Amino acid sequence: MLIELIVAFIAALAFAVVFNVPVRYLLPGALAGTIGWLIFRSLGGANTAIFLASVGIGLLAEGGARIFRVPVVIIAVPGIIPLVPGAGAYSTMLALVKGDFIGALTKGTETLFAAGAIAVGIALATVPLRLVWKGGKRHVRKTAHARITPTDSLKF
Amino acid sequence: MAEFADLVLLAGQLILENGGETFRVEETMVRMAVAAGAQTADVFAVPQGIFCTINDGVQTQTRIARIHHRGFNLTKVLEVNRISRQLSAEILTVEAAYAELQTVERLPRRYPTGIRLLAGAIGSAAFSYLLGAHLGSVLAAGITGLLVMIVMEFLQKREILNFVALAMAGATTALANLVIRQFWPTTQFDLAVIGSIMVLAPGLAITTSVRDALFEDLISASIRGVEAFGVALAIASGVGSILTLYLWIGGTLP
Repeated sequence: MLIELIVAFIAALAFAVVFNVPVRYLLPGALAGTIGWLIFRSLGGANTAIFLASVGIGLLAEGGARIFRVPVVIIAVPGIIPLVPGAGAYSTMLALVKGDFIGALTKGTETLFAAGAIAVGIALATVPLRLVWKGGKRHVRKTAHARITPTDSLKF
Repeated sequence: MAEFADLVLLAGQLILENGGETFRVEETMVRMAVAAGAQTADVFAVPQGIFCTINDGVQTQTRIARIHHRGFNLTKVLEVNRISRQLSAEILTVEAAYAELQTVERLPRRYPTGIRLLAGAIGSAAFSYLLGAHLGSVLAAGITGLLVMIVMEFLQKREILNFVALAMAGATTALANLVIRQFWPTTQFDLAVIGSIMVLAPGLAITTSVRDALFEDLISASIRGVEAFGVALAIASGVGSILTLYLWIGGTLP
């Protein structure tokens, strides 16, 4: 188990390098990956475990993003990499190659749900922190109609 | 005040081209425009382009930028983020911010190509270990992962269409792993292949797609979702075509 965690750490770290994450922020992403894998393994490794692990990674990423003042993706992307259902995608493809369409459908649905679990987990994690932590100017309106008055434009 | 809109547009362009989410592009652009003294700023961004209209009190300027190539360079996203914050805090002037953005644009990749390739190999090996591969298969995954990275690097430099490049990389790793299996029949072929293609997996596309959907940028979310699906399909078709050929000439697969 300890070896697995170390390997998960290395995997997340390596993928962070591939995505050009700066050296200073490599560690948070790699740690998120390790903790995600810990949750995933200790809950048994089904899709529910993927979901809960993604929620954990999402929370870490949201929190870390606020602490280090970096975009959330810098921590979240290396974090979820160990959970990506590569094996499921491969067996779907293999079943299709062999002409086993029922098997492909089963595996494919499973894979799709695993990917969906990651997606929903990450999305869900943004909710609690947003409730607690508004962060002042974080909610800037996308259209900034600031100080515009008729007299202003007449002046020029 | 021509620089004004250019500054804001360049910032948005840099974030979008290097893997930032759409809401971040829009928010950063509006914030920078307001910090630089704009009266109104309207921004609309999708993964393929940015439209913005900025009023500086005297005149309205409209800019459109078409984004052709998107890659992953989170360092650049981070740098633009920092410049935007410093501009809002009035540490940087508009001219200084524009100059800094231009240096960010010319910034090379964070890590030299050799280190990225090596990281890809290590990542592949580690991933196949997590799937439960033996030491020999881990080694095979590492070697073929390195090969995949080299092929992708080469094809991207030649500006081959991204989906075609992904399919070719998938075909390469399947072929290489079949060759390895001929010499060491004990390697777990499937785990080695999965590990080696993980460096191509659309992890970033999935994450940004979800986050875009969450912030109600639904066009961007669906574009990135389709992109993630397309990437997975392209890789699978590359690997699958080689395996089909292999089965056709009489090979057997586990």
